[in-house]
Amino acid sequence: MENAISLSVTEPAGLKPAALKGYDRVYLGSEFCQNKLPTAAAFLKLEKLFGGPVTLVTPLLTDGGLDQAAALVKALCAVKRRRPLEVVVNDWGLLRLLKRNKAARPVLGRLLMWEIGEMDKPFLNAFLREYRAAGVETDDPEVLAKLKGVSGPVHFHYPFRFKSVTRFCSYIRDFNSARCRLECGPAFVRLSSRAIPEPIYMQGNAYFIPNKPLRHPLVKRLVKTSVKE
Amino acid sequence: MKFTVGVKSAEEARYFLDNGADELYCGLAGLLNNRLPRENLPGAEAAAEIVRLAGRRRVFLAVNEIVPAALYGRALDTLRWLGRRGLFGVILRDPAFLSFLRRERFRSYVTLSTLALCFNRRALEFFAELGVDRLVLPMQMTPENAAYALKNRLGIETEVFCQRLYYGVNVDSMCFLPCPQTAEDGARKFPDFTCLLPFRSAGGGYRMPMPGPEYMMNAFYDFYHGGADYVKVARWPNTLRQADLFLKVRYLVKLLDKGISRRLFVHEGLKLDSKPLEYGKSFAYRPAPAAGLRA
Repeated sequence: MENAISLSVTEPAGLKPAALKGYDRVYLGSEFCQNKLPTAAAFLKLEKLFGGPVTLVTPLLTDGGLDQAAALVKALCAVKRRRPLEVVVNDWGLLRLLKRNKAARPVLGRLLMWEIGEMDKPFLNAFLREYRAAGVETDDPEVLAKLKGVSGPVHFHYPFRFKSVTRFCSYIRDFNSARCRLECGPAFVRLSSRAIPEPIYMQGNAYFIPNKPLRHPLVKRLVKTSVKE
Repeated sequence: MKFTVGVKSAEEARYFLDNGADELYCGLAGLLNNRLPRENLPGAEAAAEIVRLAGRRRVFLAVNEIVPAALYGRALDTLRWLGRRGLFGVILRDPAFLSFLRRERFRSYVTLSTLALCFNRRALEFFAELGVDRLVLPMQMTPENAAYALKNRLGIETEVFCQRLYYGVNVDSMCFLPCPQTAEDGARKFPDFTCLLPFRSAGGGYRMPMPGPEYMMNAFYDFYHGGADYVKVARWPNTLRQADLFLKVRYLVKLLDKGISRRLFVHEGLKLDSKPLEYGKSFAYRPAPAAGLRA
């Protein structure tokens, strides 16, 4: 089982190598907000600090975000690596862009898996081959159960399960195609209400509930989100 | 800009056709789509009746969820049966099902549901290759974000919501918070829309954010002038509420057709009693009989 840690874009600054000890891989970026893509310099610096594989994480993208993500992938692919750059993709458009980029391999992210998980498995496996997907991701046992028969490895996220996302950011009171100064930070904010039995947690423009790592024959990688209170 | 209206009965179809709907869409019980089961027609015959009522106006069938492979055969048979009776198109979201229909040489006009995650030009190309003829722009796409889609050279038409009167707090297809529309615990639906609840946090009270009414009016103005081809009035459990939305959208489009200035349009729109945040309260299932609609 591979163990990965997922860092928010603001976390690598001041990060000590000891904080990454015990992990086989580091994720950097955001699955939910296009304003939280790292710079190429920050990504390369983290690769150097960690000394192991680093995965670029990308969200749903508007045209502006897609241009930014494409430029970032291009800059990162200009650097020689032993293996192709791994990119977690949550957008059909970016997936299409990566199709012919041999220096990068997509992993289908948690958002796309809600679209894909239930698909006819022969179609899904052919689709994964066509797009050279290195794996698929989820955080939900329900989606995992539907993935029986999938040909690639499954990566499982914890300690939070994604529940919802908005493009209208509560921090900047604007759509996340507008620029921001990452006012949200990496913190998970606990939200409670009498009307729901358990609290939910907000990080940036996405909402979550607690989740536990899941051992399952299909799961080949556990991805732990770094959590700041 | 033409009106595309969702219906859940022949009575509703008659009402909206009589009042200016350019096209209708509906869903069938047992064929997955993104509405409450009660908002669907009981069977294909009921959809055929709506096609007949619509005459030369177009009717679409919504199958806008991810379709399990086990349903493919039945779905294709139903679409072919309705196609022979004049169904114009189908509203889809699932790339695998789209591919299946192409492989089976099923020919129909295809609208890509607002639920598909199509937020940029490459995503539009991805779906264009699967045979999509129209895109319903996601509600959380601004007119600036949608500039490419509105002017695309792929021959894909565009459809929008009037956001002032119909808005989703979170990205529609990527919201798995409990609500009356989706969360089921046996036969029981969750009573509240989680996205509308007041929350407590360490920093004080919190509500899930949505843009203000001025943005929404400006957005509709921009979508109209940007070349959006259709405005959608979605199916609604409460028929009178949907009729009210439809009449207000029709009024706004009439103002735009007359060439109203942006400033006046926003001013007029803000006077409308829209209260999108009340959609939770209006979600009770209240189909209105024809007489009620006429009244």
